[in-house]
Amino acid sequence: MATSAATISRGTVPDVKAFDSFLAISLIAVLASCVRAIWFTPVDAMLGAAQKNFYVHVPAAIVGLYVACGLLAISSILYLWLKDERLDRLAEASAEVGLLFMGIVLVTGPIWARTSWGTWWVWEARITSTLFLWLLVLGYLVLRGAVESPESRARLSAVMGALAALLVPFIHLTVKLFRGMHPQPVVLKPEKPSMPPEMLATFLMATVAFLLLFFALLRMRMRWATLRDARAALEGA
Amino acid sequence: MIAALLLVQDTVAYVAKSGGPPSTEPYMWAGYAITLGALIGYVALMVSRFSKSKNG
Repeated sequence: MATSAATISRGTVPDVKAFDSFLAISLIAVLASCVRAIWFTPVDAMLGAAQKNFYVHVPAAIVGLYVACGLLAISSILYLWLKDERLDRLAEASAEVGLLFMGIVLVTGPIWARTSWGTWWVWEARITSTLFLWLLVLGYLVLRGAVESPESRARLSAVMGALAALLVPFIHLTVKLFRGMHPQPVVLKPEKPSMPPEMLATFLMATVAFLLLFFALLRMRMRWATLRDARAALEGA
Repeated sequence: MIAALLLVQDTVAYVAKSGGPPSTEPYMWAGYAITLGALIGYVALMVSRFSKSKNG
């Protein structure tokens, strides 16, 4: 970041690569976890192969809701305190990459639900509140695009980002607070995970792979934001 | 018979269902295709953004 700032001050656009080895490794890790889930993990006797959506649905939820929205909230609050533009870029990148992973959750969930519940969608607390969070994060990104002044954009979106992320603990607790169709946690719970070891190993591998990919995409998105801001600064000069 | 079952049956996992598990493979493929398509699509979007920002 310091190099980029120096480069901007010298009046040139920083030379940053779109694709790097971290992104390549994380993509390979995600592909490997999918191969293991599809071909080398037992089929659930009750739900059949559709249950294997679990290995993308839950890791995407952990990354999209807990990690991305957690980063969005922390960086937004820190921005309001420190007014550092790098924190604003981190919040923006977390929101956009988180939106992608939450989108995967909201698409793979209904595909799995169709086979296990017999319906694509149920308006119950967990699912509906996740959809609301997705819409709030989408609104956050739309708001960023609508405000021209960089300072106002960063300040307003930081407030919205911090407030939107407040929904995450509520979403986590919905399966305890309300009666609904969505199952209770099988891994993120105080007791031992209620899964066979082969399935748990695949799930953990998929979660690590999704986490790696999230941070690789976040890094890529932040580098692009630096490049975009440098170009905007040059064009404005 | 029980020994043979223990050898072939996962000890923890599942209660066998008569006729085997339901055929839900298309739903599995749909989930994985959409996931990988979305992730690769986002990487492609980012590469395109980099290209536009570098070349103006």
